[in-house]
Amino acid sequence: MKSHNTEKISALADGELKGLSRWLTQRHVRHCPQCAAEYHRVERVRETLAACPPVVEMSDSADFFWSKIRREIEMHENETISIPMPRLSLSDWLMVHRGALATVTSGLMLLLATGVMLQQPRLAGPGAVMVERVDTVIPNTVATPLKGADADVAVIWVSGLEWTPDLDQMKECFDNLET
Amino acid sequence: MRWIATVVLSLLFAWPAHAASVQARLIRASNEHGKTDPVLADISGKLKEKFGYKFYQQLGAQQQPLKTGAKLQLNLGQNFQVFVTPRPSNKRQQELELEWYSGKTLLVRSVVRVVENGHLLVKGPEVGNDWIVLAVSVRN
Amino acid sequence: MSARRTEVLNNPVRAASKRANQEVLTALSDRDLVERCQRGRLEAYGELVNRYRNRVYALALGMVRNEQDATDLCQETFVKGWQAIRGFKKNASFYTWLYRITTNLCIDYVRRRDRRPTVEFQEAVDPDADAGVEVPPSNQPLPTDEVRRRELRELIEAAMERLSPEHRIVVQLREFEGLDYAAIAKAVGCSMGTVMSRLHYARKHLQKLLRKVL
Repeated sequence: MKSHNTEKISALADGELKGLSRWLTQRHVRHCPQCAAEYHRVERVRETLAACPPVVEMSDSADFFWSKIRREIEMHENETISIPMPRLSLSDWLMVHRGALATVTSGLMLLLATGVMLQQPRLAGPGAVMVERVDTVIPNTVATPLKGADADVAVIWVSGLEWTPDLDQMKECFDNLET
Repeated sequence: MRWIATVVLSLLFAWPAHAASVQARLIRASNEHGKTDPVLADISGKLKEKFGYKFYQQLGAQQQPLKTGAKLQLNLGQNFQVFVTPRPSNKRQQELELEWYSGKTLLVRSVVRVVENGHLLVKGPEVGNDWIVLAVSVRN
Repeated sequence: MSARRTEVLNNPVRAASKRANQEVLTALSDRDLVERCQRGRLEAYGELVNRYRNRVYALALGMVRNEQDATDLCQETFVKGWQAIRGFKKNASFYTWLYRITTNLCIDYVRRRDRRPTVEFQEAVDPDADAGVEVPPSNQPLPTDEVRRRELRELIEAAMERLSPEHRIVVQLREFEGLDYAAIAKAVGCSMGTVMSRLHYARKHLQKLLRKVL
């Protein structure tokens, strides 16, 4: 505890602090005489109130009370009203459900990591296949990378490529290929 | 705990080039020979789109596993070879240095970055009315 | 057979049937009873009234300090509850919702009734000026436990009356109804931080008012 947060001492006595907050407050109370005294005072108030709970019972009997309510309901038979449902604010909900939330978040992160690990890379965005550099040493030949809409195909266009003796041999092979 | 994190991080970030291979295919593009090879089914659409020919035949193909820094020679038949030198890559794109030879003649030299299932198509020499096309891709 | 004899014969049957119906309703959960109420079954609402009337009455009495007013507020709570039951979401807690109605009615009532400003806790208040607590002089005979408890209860009630309605309600719900901070926040319609703050300062005030008996 950075300072003597006496509100937290009250919450500690009520058993409303959880986790790190509880640990820190307990630790502080153990070492701070002022806050330890405050803790005991809160406990004392709680014990005193608990020792004298109000003894309350309606003087109307159950049947009589119900008959009064029933009569009033029947008098306003078709009247309806809207009463909002009591709910916690988002921050309070997160605080109350933080254990479950932590479990769910950890589980989701684990699933995500597993999915990433198992997934084959399928990058197909712009520039997925890119020609960094191209050249040709054959005279009068030009090699040009072509840009297209397809990101996963790159084309190099080599023009002016003349016959070479090896290509002559290949032509012969072509001619002999069965169609 | 640290070794688990190391394994996880390695799996997440390491380019799977050490398990990947490069495939090169020598293709004849023609309007006359009547059919396209079924083995070219995965790229025939792209070939038609880029080069306009109706029919495509695979003349030769070879596939070898990639090893960073090691120069690979892929013999495609018809006296054509492709030399592939993978460069160090730590992203999902594999950088390759390519040299396409016809016999002893270097036709074209290029440095490309390719992703898995992406293709590099090189329009090569003309043979009569047909073209020779080189198709290079990286596979897992 | 005379009409009177028929009636005599029928009454035990009717009474037995009524008892059987009541037993069925008693065995149902709040959620099942609310479902029946939403279908227009008034007798199911009677069971809910029976279950919660004393708790609602205790809360109202703790706030308004008058039995007749507390009974009226309790009655009004249940009438409003019936009028709004169709909008009740079944997954919610019925008694928290009921407490919310009661709290709003009581706070409105207390604000309208009280002419004098309510005592808000302030650090600067002279503690002696708040002393409304008296301890029996020591030369009197020692009171019995029951008498002592009754006197203490009266002192507590007097001290509670000096709290503002907002502080009083959180002490009621926490110390006498046993609700946790989340349920109190829902019943009162504020944040849990506000509940914590109000409880803390209410207890500080009660400490000062009851210091001679603590």
